[in-house]
Amino acid sequence: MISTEREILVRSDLATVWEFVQIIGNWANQMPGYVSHKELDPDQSDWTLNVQMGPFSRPIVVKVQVIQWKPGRGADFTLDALFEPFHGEGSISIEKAPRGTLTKMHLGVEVTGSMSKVLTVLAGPVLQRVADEFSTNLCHVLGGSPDAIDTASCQGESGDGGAEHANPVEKKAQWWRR
Amino acid sequence: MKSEWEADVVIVGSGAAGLTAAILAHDNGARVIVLERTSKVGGTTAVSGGGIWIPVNGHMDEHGYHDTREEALQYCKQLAMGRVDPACIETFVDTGAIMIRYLEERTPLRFRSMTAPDYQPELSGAKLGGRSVEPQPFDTNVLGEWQSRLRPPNAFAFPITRQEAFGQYDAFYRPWLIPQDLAADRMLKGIVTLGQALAAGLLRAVLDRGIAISLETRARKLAMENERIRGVIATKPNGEEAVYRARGGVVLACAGFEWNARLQAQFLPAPIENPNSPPFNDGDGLLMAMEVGADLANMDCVWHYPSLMIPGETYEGKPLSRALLAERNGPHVIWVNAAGKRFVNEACNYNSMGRVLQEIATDGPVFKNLPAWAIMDAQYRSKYVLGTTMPEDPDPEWLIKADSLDELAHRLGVPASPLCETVQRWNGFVKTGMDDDFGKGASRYDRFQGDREATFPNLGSIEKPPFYAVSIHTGALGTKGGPRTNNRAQVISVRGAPISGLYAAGNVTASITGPGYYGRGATLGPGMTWGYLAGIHAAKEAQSSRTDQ
Repeated sequence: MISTEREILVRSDLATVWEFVQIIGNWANQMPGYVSHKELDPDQSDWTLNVQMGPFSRPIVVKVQVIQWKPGRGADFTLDALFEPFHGEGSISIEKAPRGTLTKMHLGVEVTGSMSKVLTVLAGPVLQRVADEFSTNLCHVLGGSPDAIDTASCQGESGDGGAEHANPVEKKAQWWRR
Repeated sequence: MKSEWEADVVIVGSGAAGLTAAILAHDNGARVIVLERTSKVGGTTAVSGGGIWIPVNGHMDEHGYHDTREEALQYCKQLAMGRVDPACIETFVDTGAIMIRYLEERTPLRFRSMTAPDYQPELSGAKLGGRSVEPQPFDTNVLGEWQSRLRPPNAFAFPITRQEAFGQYDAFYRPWLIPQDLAADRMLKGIVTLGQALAAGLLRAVLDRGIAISLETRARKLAMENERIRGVIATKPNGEEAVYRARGGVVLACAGFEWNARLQAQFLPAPIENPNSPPFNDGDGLLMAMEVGADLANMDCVWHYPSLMIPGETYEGKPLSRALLAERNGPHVIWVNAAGKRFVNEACNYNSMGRVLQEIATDGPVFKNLPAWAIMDAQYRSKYVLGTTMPEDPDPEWLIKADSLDELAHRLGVPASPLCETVQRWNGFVKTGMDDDFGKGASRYDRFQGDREATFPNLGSIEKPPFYAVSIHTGALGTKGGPRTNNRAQVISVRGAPISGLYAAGNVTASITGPGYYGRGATLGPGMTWGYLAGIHAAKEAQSSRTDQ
């Protein structure tokens, strides 16, 4: 499994952020390449996303299932691509911070099937970019960073180095996502 | 605001033909500038398979093949069907191998031949392998800051060579058999293959020579003075006009017109639904050549490529066409038209196949074989790749599926009983191993493209439910009509004489293949050879222009 983490500090207070997190469609809307989502019930939804790799783009449908709501603290969820060979898991956790709310995200993906080795290499940089853009979008929609003069500045901090600090192997692969 | 630049030779386009012309013009003493419309280098070449069809090449003996000038001429002239100046074919056959050797000696590129047969291997003079060469894997790290300016591939072919793909690993049917560690390692190291390797190697050679490349510079008009081409007028993204004066000549190497709907409607016998090339091939070169009185030839011809389109997939914001390989050549698959009938040898070469899709019915103003579908069964689905879907993957939404042929026919909107009869008849052929209707599997070419593990590489029954259908789309690697050139790559005017200072190479020109398709790399082989010739002659013209002054 390949995984990544992001941490952002947003201006909105904990109650506002929790209100946002409780509605799964709110997250979907912040995903890069968002096309649409269908809420099957409060815990389960199908997201259609355009995955971008350089000039190439392809729509995928992912089933997102919340497996545990943690009131006022976040949620754990699973991901299952409906037509592509991957699944994954993730979490959002929120906590009160001096100037807003600290939001931590974890996202892990496992590519399966007979082509998993090469597809994992392709998926690594995509996962990093998705995490970068998702956390930036989330920061914007939750009032921006308290450190920023305006909400335009929303760079998430990467718990694992992120795209710009990828491990040497991922760094070498970054030309694939031009 | 108009900026002005001066060079001896101005090259329009940064595909393999253009970059080869740039290298040769430079090496023959010219000061060269390359203009590229987009922000990336490599053009159609960079998204191609990178095969280069070169007869009598120095790599043929790597696989034990032998060739002669006479055999090559015989083969090429038959495919041209009398529509091409024989002198051009002779020059191609005599120069192609020299061009390849030159590039190997003077650039970082290395080539090896492939075991792929010519596309009409039963014709006299044809070969069963060796005439197609391909670049060896290329490390893009040597491009430095230009690494990010190399055009990425459009369909994410994994970085293995074609010879590795079909020669060793059966990648067109069972891509999971490729050595994934090797492919992953190459990806991680920035090593590319196929057309990207070719474009990258040529780009490195251009950079090594200090040749200027102007990106996002779209050539729009040729500057003509006293019946001679003196340069190019181009536009920048901000609308600024730039004039590039050329002392020796301008080389048009800026692709065909397959993405230009007006030119398609004007010249082609049937529309190309969605080309496979980058969506910038709008016929700029054709229009510029027409404007200065170029003679045109081969205008009804296309490098056909029937394709699969996965809904929503795009490249550079335009729908993406993918290659159909196992879905066409393999066992357990036939293609049918709206009447529910087969209409072609599905395993014939893609160029010939495309022409059949252009046929107009005799009893009505409709294309006889469009729409068309590939029909397959559970046996196919369990054994082979289908588009980007592996056997173990769930059925994608774009795949049409039914438990019976009747139901499949209903879903496609084709009459059920002809479809069932067609499949029944096909299954009869499979039992005997002979396709009596269209000869699928009869040619050595078909069998090479087939599943070599199957009893009959191209024949397998369609009988096990569920049944599947995939919609066929008319694609094209490019157009192959345009300004006519002579065997010095000079553009010929409608009056029959060369237009002074104007050269052309690659898909912008009227192809010297005429309506035919020699084999893998039939676009790049003549294109690069004409680039080689154009570079040399334009440089000489610049030199004599300097002497005259």
